[in-house]
Amino acid sequence: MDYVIETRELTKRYGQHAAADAVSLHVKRGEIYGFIGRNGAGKTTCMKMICGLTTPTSGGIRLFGKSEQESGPLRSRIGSLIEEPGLYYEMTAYENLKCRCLMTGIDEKGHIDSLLELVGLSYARNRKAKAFSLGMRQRLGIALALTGNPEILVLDEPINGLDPQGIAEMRQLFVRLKEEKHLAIMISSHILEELAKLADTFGIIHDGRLLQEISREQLMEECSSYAEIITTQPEQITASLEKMGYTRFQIMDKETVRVFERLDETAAMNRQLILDGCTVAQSRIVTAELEDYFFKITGGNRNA
Amino acid sequence: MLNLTKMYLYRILHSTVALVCMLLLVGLTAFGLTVSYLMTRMVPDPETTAVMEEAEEEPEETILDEYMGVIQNGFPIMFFGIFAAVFYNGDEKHGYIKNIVTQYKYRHAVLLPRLLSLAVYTAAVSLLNFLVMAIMLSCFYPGIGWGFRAETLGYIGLHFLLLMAFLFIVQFLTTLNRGTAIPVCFSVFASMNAAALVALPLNFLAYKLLNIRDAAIERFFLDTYLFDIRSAENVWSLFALFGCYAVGTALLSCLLLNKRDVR
Repeated sequence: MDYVIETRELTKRYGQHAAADAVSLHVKRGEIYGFIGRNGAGKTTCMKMICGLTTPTSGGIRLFGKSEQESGPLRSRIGSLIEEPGLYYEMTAYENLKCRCLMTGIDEKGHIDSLLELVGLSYARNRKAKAFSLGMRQRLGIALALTGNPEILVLDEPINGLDPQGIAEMRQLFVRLKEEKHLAIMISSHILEELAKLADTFGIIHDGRLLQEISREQLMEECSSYAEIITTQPEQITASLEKMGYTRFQIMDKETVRVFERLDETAAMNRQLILDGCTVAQSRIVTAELEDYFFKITGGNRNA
Repeated sequence: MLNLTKMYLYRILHSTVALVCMLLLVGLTAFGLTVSYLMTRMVPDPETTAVMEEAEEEPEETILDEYMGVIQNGFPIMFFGIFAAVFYNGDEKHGYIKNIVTQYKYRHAVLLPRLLSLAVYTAAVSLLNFLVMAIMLSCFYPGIGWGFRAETLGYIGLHFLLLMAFLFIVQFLTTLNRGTAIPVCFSVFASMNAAALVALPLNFLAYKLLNIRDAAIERFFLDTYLFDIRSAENVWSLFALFGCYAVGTALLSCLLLNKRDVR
């Protein structure tokens, strides 16, 4: 598989506390990887280790399919925005980007202005960063991450502080970067619905451990709607469903059966179940959300 | 490394603090010279005139001699030290260092470019200071000589080298402190020749505890020579001092940068 980021049992310990515990994640070229977790779950720690801002206690990182030893110098091909954007507050937006261009040896005419336009900051080109709002700083941080045409973007909560229009604009930008430049983008966020609109693969981290990596298709399947039948005879129900030609159903417990297909035929299904002599105490359509799935996986609840 | 040095030079060129420090240093030199000139012209009493006439018989001071006097007072140490602390800390203060270290295999890659760019700044400001001084002295004392002697120029070069070692220490303290409080205090103390004060109890302790009569700990302090470069036993001892401080603090800074997480 063509992974641009691959971590092996990545661990970071602060004393007895493991901020990241044996995290093995995989980011493919040209995909948006949504890194989901609550505050303090270990998202930022993992991203910091990938970008070289924190040294792992153990484990390793492979970039662009190279060995762990060869991957160190390849970090220069990563653009990152970790926690709050790193800016020189006394300098203007243009000067901040110019510094980054000088550092990376980019001498392309118009590069800085095109970046400012890309993130919607052309109007504040000559304004000092200290006068920026949180959202403007976030945009400038994204522009800094994009300087030098990186092949991977690692963005930690990039939509923090942005207004709804800004969030939509950034979403469009990330999708465009993925599609046009084939960039791999790793985004962490606790705004799950926003990530759900963007990511191709999701990594769910909780208490420092990566609980699951799941593709968008798999997730949608998990989160998709289903018909839930409450009964005292689950075996009889499934036999009847088989007779009707249903294949995707599951006995959840001794009282519940879930059916994942032909949901528009539920009325006919119920009628047939009754005709087949099954006891149906209740039948309803349930629509699951990403949030529900996340809470199910992490074993938490909405108020946690 | 070259790219990073270019970036730091660009930063210095666009820094208000760099401009303020330069103006203050040059301004103070100009002010000092003016006051000194006015004093010599405005004192009419015969006793002082006699002293002045006597002094005029001594070998004439040159511009370079005057310059040696200026760089060996505390102001350059203070201004360059404070600017260095603010400059180094600028990377950490609002996190720009995150953009830098992610581009390099080793975090300590920032250390040398920072110092090189500061060396350029220090040299440029020193040169400007010298030019302003030369112009003012030529106006105040027409006919004053330049005094370009190999020995004096050598001492100026060595003084610059020791100033760089001092900036290495400031860099280490800024890295350690992750702020400017400690390095700024250190620069201010150093500008007051605090080494002499520190050496006094240390010499006393060396005598009391180890029975060393003439420990002369101050010989190992940069401050001693930054205030009186000619007091060095020989040139090599100055090179050795530079090497010890520069290498020692550079290694400690490397260790700190590589060990600690970047915030």
